[in-house]
Amino acid sequence: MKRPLLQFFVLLSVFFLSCNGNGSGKNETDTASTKKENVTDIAVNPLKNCYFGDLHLHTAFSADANFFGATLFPEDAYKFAMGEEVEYLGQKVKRVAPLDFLAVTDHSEYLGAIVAVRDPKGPYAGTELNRQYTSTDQKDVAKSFGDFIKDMSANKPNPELNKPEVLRSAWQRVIDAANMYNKPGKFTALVGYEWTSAPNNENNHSQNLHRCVIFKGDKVPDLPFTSFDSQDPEMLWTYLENARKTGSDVLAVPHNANVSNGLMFDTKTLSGKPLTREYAERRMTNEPLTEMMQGKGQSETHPTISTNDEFANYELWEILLSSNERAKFKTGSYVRQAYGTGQELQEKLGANPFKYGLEGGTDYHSALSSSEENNYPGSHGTQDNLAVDYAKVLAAGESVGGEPPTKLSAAGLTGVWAESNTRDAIFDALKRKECFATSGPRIKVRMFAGWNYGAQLFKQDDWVKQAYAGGVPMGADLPAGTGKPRFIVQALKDPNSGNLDRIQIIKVTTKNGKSTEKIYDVVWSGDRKPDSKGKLPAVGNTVDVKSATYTNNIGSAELIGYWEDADFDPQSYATYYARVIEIPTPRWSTYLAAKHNLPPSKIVPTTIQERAWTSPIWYTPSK
Amino acid sequence: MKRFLSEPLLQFLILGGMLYVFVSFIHHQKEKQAKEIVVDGERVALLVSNYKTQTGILPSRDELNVMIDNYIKEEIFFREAKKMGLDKDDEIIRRRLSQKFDFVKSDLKQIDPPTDQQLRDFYKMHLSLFETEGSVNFSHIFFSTDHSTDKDARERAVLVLQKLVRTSLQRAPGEGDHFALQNDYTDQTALDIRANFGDKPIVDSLFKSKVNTWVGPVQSGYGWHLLYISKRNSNSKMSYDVGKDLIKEKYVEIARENENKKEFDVLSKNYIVRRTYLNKQ
Repeated sequence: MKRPLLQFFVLLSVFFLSCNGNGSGKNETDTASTKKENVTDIAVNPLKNCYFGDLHLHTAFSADANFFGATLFPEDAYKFAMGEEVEYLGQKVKRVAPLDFLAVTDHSEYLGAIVAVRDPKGPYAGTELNRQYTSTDQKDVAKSFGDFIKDMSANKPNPELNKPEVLRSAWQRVIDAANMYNKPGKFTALVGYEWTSAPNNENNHSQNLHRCVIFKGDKVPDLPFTSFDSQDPEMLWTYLENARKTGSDVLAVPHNANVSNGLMFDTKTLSGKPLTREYAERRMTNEPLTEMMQGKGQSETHPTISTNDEFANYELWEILLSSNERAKFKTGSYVRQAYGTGQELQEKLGANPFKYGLEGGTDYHSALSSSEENNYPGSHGTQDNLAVDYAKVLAAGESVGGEPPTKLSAAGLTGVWAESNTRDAIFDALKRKECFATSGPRIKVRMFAGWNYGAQLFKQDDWVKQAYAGGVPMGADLPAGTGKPRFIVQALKDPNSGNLDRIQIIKVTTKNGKSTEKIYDVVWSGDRKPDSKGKLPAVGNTVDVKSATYTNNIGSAELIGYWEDADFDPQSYATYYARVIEIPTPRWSTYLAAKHNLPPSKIVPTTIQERAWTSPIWYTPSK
Repeated sequence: MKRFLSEPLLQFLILGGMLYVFVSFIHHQKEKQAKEIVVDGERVALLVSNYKTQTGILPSRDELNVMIDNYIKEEIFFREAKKMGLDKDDEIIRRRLSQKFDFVKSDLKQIDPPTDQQLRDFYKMHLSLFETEGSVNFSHIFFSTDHSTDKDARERAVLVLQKLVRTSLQRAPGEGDHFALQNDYTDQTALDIRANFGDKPIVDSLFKSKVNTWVGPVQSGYGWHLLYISKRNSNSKMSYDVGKDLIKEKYVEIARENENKKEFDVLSKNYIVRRTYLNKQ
């Protein structure tokens, strides 16, 4: 059933696009100027402000998004992120709270090629390919999409679609759009793309090793690196190292380890060699962050791996992309476990290849970073057009993406602690991992660690200043010290979302090749008392599923607390990260069902506890 | 005989009979067509190509036979459903067709690029579209609901307000609870407030309440606040030169909307709409 339906949608989108020529905003590139950042008059806060954004978003320039009926371009993506209203599939859509930064990251494979091939005045005008791609005949549509899937699966480009001059022109428009919407002090637009490596497993299904590539400035290589060039991340790192030598600094962010079939955090290289110290150091220089949460689920942990984690069963995505095959995940697929694996390797190699900071993105294919649960219009074009297909989407048991469309999350975002909202300040914060991931809400979370913090320090007005002076923030290494590590954590709710349930610190320790994880509740709302086993009672649930409403009369607007690691062993490696949990609120699918007076989806939970995850602070024993 | 043939009744009967024969013939032909399902080579090729797109391989003979049988079944069901009129009152089919039509009709019109004069005229006629947002400077006092009930927090705020209106203080954060963000804000647009304080009554209050006096209590996404608005910058106009790109964009957007509306008006002239729900019972 799904294929004729998809074809129908593709047909519609093809027709729509062919009517539109090259889409909106084309003429804007003429006026795009590369304005230089004038940072002298931008206020700088040495104690850092919190900025929210998305480092993972596709537009009609991505071939797959284009087939799904995306009609919006990078310019539209920036406008929407800045809080402007844009039109999506005939509906006016707008964020409640704007973002502070955005990187548009279209797939580099065939970047802009499908747009070009359809352009009646473009480089393919008059060719057979142009006829085929603009044809509304089912046969042509099916062939175009079929060929695309075949090329991607075989990782062999069709030379006709893979023309350097076409890619270069699309790449230039990506750069121009970012330059045009970058407003130092107000909004940061970063140049980027996605390298879409997905080597096949034995069943010819893709194992996700994708990475988003984010540049600090606009001095970037002539062409992006593609999986057609190589599927091996080590080759991508070579590209990044060369790019850094000749132009802007750059980093890569791996995502969807959850559907990597165990490859993302493997203990051998993609080419099958054992990991080395050099590999570990190269990996961390080139990719300091990983994506904890996005539309296709979280990669923190799986309930069968973290059996003692009552919050682990959250927004799981378990099917390999574009297949019906369950991903292997027992090792190499989840971040928390990788923190232990990394430390085990560090014991042997002297360097940790998985010392990842955390960020979150949407990975939407709509050009809209729409992470608000009660304001989610769908994210994959005509595949899940919620204004029209709400009943079908709520009921669907599958999709071309693998899991059913209801399982897509309205998530996530990256929070960054930076001195100001400029390309330099945001990028530097990402690089030093002073950033965190959220499942969509703008929860502001801080974490500091030191050896000498007082238990009452956080009650002083200038506690942040003192915390910086006497310790390190998230993303840093705890320098050598004596005693036990002490932590200060603070979380402020998203004023447009639910109150906060608790802040936890999650600790992964490693000694003599063995790793363990432990979760500590550090500060929580109300006067709840842990039971005899140390378990904190649940915060409660105010959600009325039928009307998709909740009240903030449970939970806290702000949580702040002090924690000392009483179990600290100076001889063990340790990774500490904080997790903030919101009170239960309706999931987007529940808001959608209520709006149309339909029963809620049975495929996904009706309520969720949204969350934020900080980048860790690491402790390394001195030898 | 001649007279007989000129009898109007007979003429009527003969003509009627001929008409009957003709109509039944047409009807029979139509029915024959309606009962015929043709599975031609083109149809089979399409089924094969769909299968190949989905699986990447060609179907086996058995699989193809099943696909053809399924196609025939679907076609029969489709026709029977249509005969029963199942397509008539189906919301989804109606909406899909209407949207399909809308897609086909709208946005087909190429909007000619406006001349400079056209743009200037447009700008003058639509000044309100090119206002930059107003903003406020304010100081606030926060009353948290984390350690007291919502009602208590509000009442504490009311008490502080009564005290403050008798003073000349323009900021007094110490009168309330500690606020984790700032106590004083400058140049905040409505969009900033929605992001920083939530899409709550505080947005309206900041842009509508009296300036240079304490107002409140008013609710944000965090709790209750008293506000002292020291300055409100009203909306300011974007100059033609600065806003030219935006003006052009809006021009095209509105021109397209107008074209679509015109198109609809022409179409709707072909229909007579009777609003019988307005009739008196």
